[in-house]
Amino acid sequence: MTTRNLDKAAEFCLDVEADHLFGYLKIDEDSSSEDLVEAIKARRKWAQAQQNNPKYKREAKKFISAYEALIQVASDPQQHLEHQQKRREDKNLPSLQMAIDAILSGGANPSLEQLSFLEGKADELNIARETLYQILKESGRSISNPPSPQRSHSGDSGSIDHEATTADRPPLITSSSIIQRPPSPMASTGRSRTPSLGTPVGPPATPGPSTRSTSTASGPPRRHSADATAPPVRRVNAPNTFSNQPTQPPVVDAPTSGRSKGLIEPAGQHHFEEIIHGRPRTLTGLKVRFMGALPLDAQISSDVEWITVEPSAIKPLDTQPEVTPSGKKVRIIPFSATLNPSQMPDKQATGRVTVFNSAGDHATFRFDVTRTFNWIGLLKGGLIALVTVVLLAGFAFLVNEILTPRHGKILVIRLDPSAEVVMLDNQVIGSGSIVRHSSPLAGDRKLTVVQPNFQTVEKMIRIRPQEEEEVVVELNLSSKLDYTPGPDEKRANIAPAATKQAESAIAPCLTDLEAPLRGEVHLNVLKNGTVGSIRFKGDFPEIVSTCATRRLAALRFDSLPTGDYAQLIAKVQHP
Amino acid sequence: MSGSGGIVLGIDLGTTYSAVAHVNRFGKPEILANAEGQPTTPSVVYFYDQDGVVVGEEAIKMCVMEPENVVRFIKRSMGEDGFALEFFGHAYTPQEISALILRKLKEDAEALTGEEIHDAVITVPAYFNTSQRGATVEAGSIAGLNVLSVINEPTAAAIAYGIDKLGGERTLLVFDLGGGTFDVTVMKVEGHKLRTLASDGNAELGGKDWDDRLVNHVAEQFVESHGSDPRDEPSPFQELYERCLAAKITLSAKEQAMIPVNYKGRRAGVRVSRDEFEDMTRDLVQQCIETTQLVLEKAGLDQSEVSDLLLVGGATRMPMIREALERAFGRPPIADLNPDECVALGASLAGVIRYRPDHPAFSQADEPPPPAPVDRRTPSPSPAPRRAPNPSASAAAIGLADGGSFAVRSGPPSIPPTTEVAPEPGSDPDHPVFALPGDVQIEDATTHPLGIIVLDRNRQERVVELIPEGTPLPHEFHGRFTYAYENMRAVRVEVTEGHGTYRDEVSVMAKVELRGLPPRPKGTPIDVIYRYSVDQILSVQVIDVETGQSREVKLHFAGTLGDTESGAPPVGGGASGSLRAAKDRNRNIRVRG
Repeated sequence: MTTRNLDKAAEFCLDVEADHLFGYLKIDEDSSSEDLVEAIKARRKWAQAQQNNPKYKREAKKFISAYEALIQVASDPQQHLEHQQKRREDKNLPSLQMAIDAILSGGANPSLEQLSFLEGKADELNIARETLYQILKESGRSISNPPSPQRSHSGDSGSIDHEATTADRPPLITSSSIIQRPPSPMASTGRSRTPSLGTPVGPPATPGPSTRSTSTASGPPRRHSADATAPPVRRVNAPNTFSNQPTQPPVVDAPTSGRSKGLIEPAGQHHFEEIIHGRPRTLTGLKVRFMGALPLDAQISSDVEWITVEPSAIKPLDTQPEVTPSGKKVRIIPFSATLNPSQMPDKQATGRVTVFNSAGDHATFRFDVTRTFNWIGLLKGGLIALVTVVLLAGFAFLVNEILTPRHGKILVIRLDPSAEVVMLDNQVIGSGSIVRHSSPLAGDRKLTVVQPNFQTVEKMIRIRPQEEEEVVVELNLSSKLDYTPGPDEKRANIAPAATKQAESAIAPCLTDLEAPLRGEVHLNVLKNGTVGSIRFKGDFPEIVSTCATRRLAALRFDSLPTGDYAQLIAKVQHP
Repeated sequence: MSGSGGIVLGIDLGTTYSAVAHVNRFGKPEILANAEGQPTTPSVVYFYDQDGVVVGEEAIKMCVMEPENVVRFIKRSMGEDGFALEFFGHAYTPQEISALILRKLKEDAEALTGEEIHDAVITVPAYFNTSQRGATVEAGSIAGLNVLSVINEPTAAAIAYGIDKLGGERTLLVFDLGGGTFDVTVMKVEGHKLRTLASDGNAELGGKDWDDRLVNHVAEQFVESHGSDPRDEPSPFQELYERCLAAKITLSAKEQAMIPVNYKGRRAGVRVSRDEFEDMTRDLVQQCIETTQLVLEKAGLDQSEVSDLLLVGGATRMPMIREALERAFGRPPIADLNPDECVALGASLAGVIRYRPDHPAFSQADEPPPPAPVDRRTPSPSPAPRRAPNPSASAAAIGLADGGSFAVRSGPPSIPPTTEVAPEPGSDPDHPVFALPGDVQIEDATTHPLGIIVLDRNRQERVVELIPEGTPLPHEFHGRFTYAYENMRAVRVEVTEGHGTYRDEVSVMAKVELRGLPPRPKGTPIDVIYRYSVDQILSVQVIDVETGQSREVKLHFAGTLGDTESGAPPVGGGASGSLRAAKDRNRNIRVRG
């Protein structure tokens, strides 16, 4: 597939304001190439029938013109999705760069809050967080506690004295995940989904550790400790202790009598006596050993509903090789069993987990479990909780009344023209032509407005507690906008959409004009997408040229992928 | 009967309706009715299987039942590279679909006249560009016609109107608002000469846009009352469109119309008054009037200097158009010209005047035989062009194959057309002879500028206009340029069309290369000559002045199919198919009305 076809498909998606073809055709992003081709063909029939419909003719004609390219692109949907993502990022990268430069103008490393804001900005601009971190890295800034964007899940699974089978390190959770941000828009592109922090990924959530006691001889209960070098882990979404049940296959009657043929046997402990105080407990690191020469399939199941096992079936390849002290090569099957006391029929119960292979041999694990209700613990816990709540409430009241700063209701900032970055006390609060900031800190605050081609505005504003404040900021041009391309500078093409963008920017300047006007406005656009120069051709009244200059100077086009500058001509016709 | 060479059809290939005419042996142009007995044929094609189509009224009836298999307004897509519609597994370009319409017209004309017909003059909107004109020529070729020329619709209408007014001096303004295109042309009638003074228009403005406004209005009313939009599905939309079309025609005669809408089990009747219709389309009328004023300015004339205001195209029947023009000009437009037929009539006259010098209508008198007719197809040798080189000017540079250079522009000379003595008409009372005057000269003008891509002093590409818009045809331009770099061995001239300063703003129609040169020093001269004939064939000649090596290429108009039979390189879009294959496919399709 050629880049030309990908670009053509991208231009079409831009025209119809769709992120990608799947979105436009309203089919699942995981659809196959064949499904996508069929959807495109079906849409063509629709387009042919609608090409003269005033509501759809523009879209229909563009679709028909782009049809061949779309069919080619459909042969590799993944490449299309990646191309779309890259284009979105390329378009928005300058805005993100500006935000980074504004926030980190002192060259400092970003604080957690600043990083959080930048992450939000990246999400808003449809830029992957990895790209943001890459930019920060390339700019020489380091991030304390860099989040691992690839995976995260809450908590860790409890483990017992023998080795844990949790393969993943505990996640590095930042404050952003505690806020429970909605999933990143990136999650909707392509098949490789980047989960947001705080969203569990991977195996079903397993319950957190609880206090336990075990009858094994290994001494007092040990709590699994996180890697000492990792930052403290805070648990998110603590599971519901009594209703959290991973899905399980049906209980299979396992042979509980008969002797093992010696081909399969428990490896390590196989009889457990557990006292559980209410919450389910998962015992990991249970093992059976295959002694036979041939690797066989095996099934694992329990004979009671309150014991669930994971996995429930084993293939030969799932086993782990081991060499016994005598030098014999055997295979080990690890598994885990979860004991759920809320499902026990009585306070005390016994259950068995059996592993049996396809040769009919089996190994059994026994669990004698006592469920207790810890009255004293409950009372103690309740009392402590009550005292804590009272103390906290009092403290909160005190803090709120005396120490907590007061806030305004809302701050509305109107900008003429729009601004790339608006900051309050050096914290970025937004961009555009209207910025609304809820609950701003009351008092005298520094407002900073940054827009390329315009002079940066810094002014003090007063925010009164519980009041709505409105500020109007008019920006002044900072440069003469007289860029002329040098002899060695290369001219690049610019997308036709840029001309429309320029014409749209000029249009409001003509609304009050009574006399007819025809002319052209010639723009030189710089590599970063800002306007370098503006030239009016025609009899433009000063009021129109001034208005148009301001609006055009504030535009930010897509950055030029090649070349040093581009030129466009916006046609002006009024009425 | 029609002179040697057979009948020359004049074809008005319209966006919504097409018409065909010929000049009978008495010199009278007449419309040839189609097989259904109608003077005009809807430009609508219905594909009912992979080898069969229906063209005309019957095709319109299938719009609602099978909208995906019916094509309308295909003229609006002519010249668009890469645009094709698929029916029964085959992709058809706009020119192939237009060819089906032309075939129906041709076959119906042959059935009526009893003669095999090969030659035709086809009209196009004055504002059609090269690619669109080329696609029209291709459509004719695919349909089995030898397209002698394409002429502008306003010119054809002026010929139909003015042919019997020759001998005096008049200024005509032709206001052509068809189904899909809009043109305004000012023409001067001076003796036996028809000369285009100025032209402008919009190839995407026509009666269809008035229809669309009405459709949108009615649909929005329905959405307000019932929450669903009949435009969202093809068949209900087509039904709504037909009803709005009928209502639009009603509103030309009555003050209001009722439009019934039936969608998803819900019904509504939307009443639209003429005032409401005029309100919702006022800006479209305003566009037309402003374009008219612009054309008058280009021609350097005032409204009062226009002696005749001609209306062409079915959309001019709308009272709002006539009233607006009457307000603008202070008098009503001409009423005795049939707006649906005059273009085809004029095209047939133009065909005979230019390509049938021995047509019986030219020689009916008892007077001594007139001088031997001159073959009007070959202009007389042009005089040496007058050049006014300006070497000291801040010159434009030429962008050539391996580099660029500075160049000098020179002004275009004009080629005087041929003249001859007109024979007197005959006087048989039983067979009135309209006796075409033999010395009619039709002087058209370019509607788009032609230029060349050069490099300026800063080695930046620029477009330099060589033949401006509105230049009377035929026209010749000589320009002297120079090589920009040392030791250049080849040169490429890129011919552009359209307004603009940079490559992105214009269309590159053709590239003509001169190769095999000895190493040329920087600054040595190179001449470029553009010759634009009355048949709108552009010839480009590139001459290395010192060595005398040159190359001349005639650029015939072609659309996107390429492979013109003349062997000349096609002008216009890139080849996306094959003309020969399209012709073969067209022959295998059954066309019926």
